[in-house]
Amino acid sequence: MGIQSLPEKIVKLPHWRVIYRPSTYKQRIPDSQAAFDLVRKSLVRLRGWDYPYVSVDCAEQIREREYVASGCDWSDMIEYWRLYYSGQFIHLFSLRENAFYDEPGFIDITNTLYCIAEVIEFAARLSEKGIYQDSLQIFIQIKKIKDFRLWAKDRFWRGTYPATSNLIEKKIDVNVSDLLGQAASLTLDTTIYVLKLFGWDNPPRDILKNDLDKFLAGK
Amino acid sequence: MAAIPKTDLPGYEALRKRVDAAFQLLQESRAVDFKQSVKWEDYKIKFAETIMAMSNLRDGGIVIIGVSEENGEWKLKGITDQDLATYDPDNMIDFVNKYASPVANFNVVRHEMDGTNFLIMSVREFESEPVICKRDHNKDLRNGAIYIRPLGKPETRAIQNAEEMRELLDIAVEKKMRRLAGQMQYIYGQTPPTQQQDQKIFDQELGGL
Repeated sequence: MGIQSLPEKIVKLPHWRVIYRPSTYKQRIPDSQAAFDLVRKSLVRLRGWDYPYVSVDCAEQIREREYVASGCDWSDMIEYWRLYYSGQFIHLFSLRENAFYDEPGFIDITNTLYCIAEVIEFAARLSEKGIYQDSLQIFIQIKKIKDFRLWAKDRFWRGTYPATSNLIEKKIDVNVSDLLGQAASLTLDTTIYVLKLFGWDNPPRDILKNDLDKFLAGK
Repeated sequence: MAAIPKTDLPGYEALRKRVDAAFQLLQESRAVDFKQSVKWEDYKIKFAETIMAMSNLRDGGIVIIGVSEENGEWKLKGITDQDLATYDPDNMIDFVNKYASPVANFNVVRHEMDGTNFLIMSVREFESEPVICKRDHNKDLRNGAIYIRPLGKPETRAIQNAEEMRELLDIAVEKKMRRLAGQMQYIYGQTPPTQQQDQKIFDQELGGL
């Protein structure tokens, strides 16, 4: 199965959909080589799996007139991303909880924090390289997860917090300087917002902050 | 001798996931270096070089001791108890930082999988300035060299060209920019984002994806 058919496969599964969008439409990246360089130099590598994953196989590096794309279909890691020359970025990836839960139906709290941290850090790193100059929109969606419950393997956060709809989403409008200066607090605010959408009214900010600090420190 | 913590402690969850992912992929990369079971004394110069190089890499990297290459395949054989006993985190940190300037930050952690032990050196990306080697050691380490993990073949070596130097300098500049942006935000508060003007065009560009 080719890389370009991955979106069709992913959207049938519970998955994340992430989009970055600059405030105005114009060409911001000159060509495919610059686009791949940008992604390779900005990707986040904090837990052994790059965000986003750039295949080393040339056949899995797509160069189209308007965008570059890559992805993978490997065990529970199914993902596909595009970076348009306009600077718009879209990333679809399957829920990875299957890799560490014996049965489906769970959203791992720590993994959610890590995913949001990677999403925001990658946006910040792209911004550092100048492709988003004033502000950008970040859309984070978790889809097809109705009745999935929040869970934490090593914590006693075992309330019953099920997703009551098939879509959990957060839209962030952020100035680039604030994104660069406050990526960690933006990650925390976004994670808490998302956790509350599951009906968890008071996620413990201090504990999540501690987890985030360790994650960003590679511990 | 300082104790070596294990990755199953709650404080090492991200590192545990990073090691598990390395074992699933079972391939070396810029951020992952495998080594068969060896004694610290026998490889400490090579380890110092790799730790300095991973300090100069975005998000740092991990060295996993206990993975052997046999007939072109990686085998998860683990580190022997005799070899493991030669690793003392305090001595290791002191030794590496005799060569690294500014200091290289790394943790030494034990990882157990199916009753087999592995030793992990988890290296953090530099704080603000790239790590430079500050003294010679025979022909193995060179005063003034900047060690890196280059793109492509997983290896450790000194910077060889302008492009590699530029990549490292970019990281340092970007880190400074982030700190400055944080200070500005602290002083002046948040700036309202610019209104999105081309929502429809961006939607069309996605083509329904």
